[in-house]
Amino acid sequence: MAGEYVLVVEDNDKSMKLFRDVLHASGYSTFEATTGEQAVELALVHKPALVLMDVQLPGIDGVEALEQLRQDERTSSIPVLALTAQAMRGDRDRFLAAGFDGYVSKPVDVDGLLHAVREHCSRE
Amino acid sequence: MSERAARWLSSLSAKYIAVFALLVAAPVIGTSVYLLYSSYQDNKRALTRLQQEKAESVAVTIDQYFDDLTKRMTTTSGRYLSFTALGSALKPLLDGNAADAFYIDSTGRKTLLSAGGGLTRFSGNFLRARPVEQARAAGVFFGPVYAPRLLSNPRARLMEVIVAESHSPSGGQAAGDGVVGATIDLGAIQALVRQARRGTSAYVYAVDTNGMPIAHPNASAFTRRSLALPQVTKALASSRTGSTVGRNLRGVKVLSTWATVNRVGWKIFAEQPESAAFAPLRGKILRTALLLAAFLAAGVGLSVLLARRLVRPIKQMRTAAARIGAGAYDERIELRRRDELRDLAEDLNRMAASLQASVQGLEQKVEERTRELQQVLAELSRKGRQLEVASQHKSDFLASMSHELRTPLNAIIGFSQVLRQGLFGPVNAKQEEYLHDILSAGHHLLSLINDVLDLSKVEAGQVELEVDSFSLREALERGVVMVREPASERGLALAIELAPDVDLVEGDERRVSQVVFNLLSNAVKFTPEGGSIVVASASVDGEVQVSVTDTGPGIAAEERERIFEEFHQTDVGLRQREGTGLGLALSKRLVELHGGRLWVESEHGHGSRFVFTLPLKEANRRWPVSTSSSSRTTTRA
Repeated sequence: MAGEYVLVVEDNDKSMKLFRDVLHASGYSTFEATTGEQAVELALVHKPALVLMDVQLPGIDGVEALEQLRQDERTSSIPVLALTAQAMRGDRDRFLAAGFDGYVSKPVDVDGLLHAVREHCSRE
Repeated sequence: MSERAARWLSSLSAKYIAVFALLVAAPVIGTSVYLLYSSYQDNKRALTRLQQEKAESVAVTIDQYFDDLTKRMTTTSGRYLSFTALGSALKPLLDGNAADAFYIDSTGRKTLLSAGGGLTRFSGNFLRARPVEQARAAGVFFGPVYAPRLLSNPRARLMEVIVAESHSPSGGQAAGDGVVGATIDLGAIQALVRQARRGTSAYVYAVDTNGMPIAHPNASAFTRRSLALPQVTKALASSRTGSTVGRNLRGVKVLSTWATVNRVGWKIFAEQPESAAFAPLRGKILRTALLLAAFLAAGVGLSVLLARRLVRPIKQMRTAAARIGAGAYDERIELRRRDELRDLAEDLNRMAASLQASVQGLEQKVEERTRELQQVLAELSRKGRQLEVASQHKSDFLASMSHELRTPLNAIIGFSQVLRQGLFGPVNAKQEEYLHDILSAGHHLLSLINDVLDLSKVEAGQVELEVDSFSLREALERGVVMVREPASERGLALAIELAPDVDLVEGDERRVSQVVFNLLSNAVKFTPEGGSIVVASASVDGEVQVSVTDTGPGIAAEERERIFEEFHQTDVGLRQREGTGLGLALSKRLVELHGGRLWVESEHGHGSRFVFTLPLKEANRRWPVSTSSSSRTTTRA
């Protein structure tokens, strides 16, 4: 389902470039945020189909941002995937327990990432 | 017997009293009994002698009586007297208690003076009568005693006495050739016997040679023809005098003595009941016993006092010793006496004092040591906190390092993949090759990062095993599936040999799978094309053994230990340029975390067999179960 908007929250500019290029090449449009606060703001304004959320961010982190999204009924139903370099044993379970709809560890496998994005966008 | 009584019986006091009784009471009582017995014997002898004398004196008196009587009778000299003069001469005999008196002259005529005073002359030859003949032969004849039938007095006893006139015991001139006879009323004898009773508690009686009672204080004795008492029988059958214990007419035991009247052979008995005979002795025994009892009571009382006096300080010392033993080291014993017990008490006091001193020293030492120990503990706890902080720092460092290393890798691997997939245009063969190398190096770096972090966490003790029971069979099959592709690329045969009795094991499934995968991928890596790899499970000695056997080049003996060290790779491994050199080190630690072992059996050039053990589920008790309700147990290694 091309043309849908994906909100990418990522503070590392190289990673951001990678996700942006991959998503655009696959037909998605993107909004980009580098902080948690910005992510919550953009989500409220644009209501993206999916949020890809880095966890370790300046200011409020990804988990905090997720909670704010969930608390607001306008954004509470948007699926949010954790996209993080925190990939030690147990981290996956921890993020799913925190309320993320999915988990993609960095370094990402491009095919794996696209697969996850497609899966969560097509739900709506 | 109660325990308390038993305790008392074994106490010092009881022993002391027992010894006293044995040493004092027994001899005293024994001596007293002996003395009383001999006193009884003496008493009996004296009594017997006294009675004997009494009986003998009565016998002698009776003898005397008969002597007097016969003497008087022989002096009648009837031959020369006229009829009336003879009556006068016989008259004195009647006065001497005779029932009648007679004279038979040498021609056989008999002149009888009856008790009434009538004088009668009988003609005929009375000399032929047997008694008369006996009297003429022996000089005197004593007839049998008999009871006159017509008299009402049952005690009445008569006896005929005949004396030959010529037979003069005095040897003087013969007064004639006739005989003088008289029927004696034995009332005189009875009076004699009665008199003998005076001055004694004994009574006297007399029987003739047939046992017929002649004199007896008891009237009922005269109703019998013969006294069939044991002492009478014995006396009649035996010697002149004697004594025995017999019975009186009422059957009461009597002390009986007897003597014999010489002339007529009668037996004179002096008797008294034993109870009466020994009445004074009984009093004596009673007095002695009372005295003895009094002395014994006094003795026992005294000994009890003495025992208490001896035992009390011992008890005092015992109590004190017990209190000292219980820790009251300032306890002292005060005894107001001057003997060995006082010495003992002072020894005890000295002992307590030295004990007190050494205990105080000990307490001081303990205090010092405790202080030192507390310092060490405080130091340890400080170090422990430091370690905790350090460990936390390390943990934080590992987490952030993981994050920081992965972030640039994300760009490297991601962009390489994008390029290689041709999302932004096709790449040529050389570019494709480079991209492959970049990706391969990136993945190698990623696995290095993962292994280093894992190993660090294991060594920092931060790995938590998620212990649960799982199917080993499935874990092994999954491992085989994961290496199936590279194995088939190299033409390797893969086989699984599962022991039927091994399935469920307990452990962290992901970690065990990690170990299995590591061993399998090593085997695939090192086994030359066309070789084979076998995964097997077996139950050995209550453990599960998992082995991975390959037909690879094998491992030299000197390498076998070192391959488990970090970053150590065999020459073959180095040539392959694959692997991190951390896999075996990590696997070994993970197996050891499970309480198992990992080792290799190999010969250079003949393949390798890597084996690790796990506890069987049933036999496994190595993981403490923290919550019984939870089926999942987590152990911090």
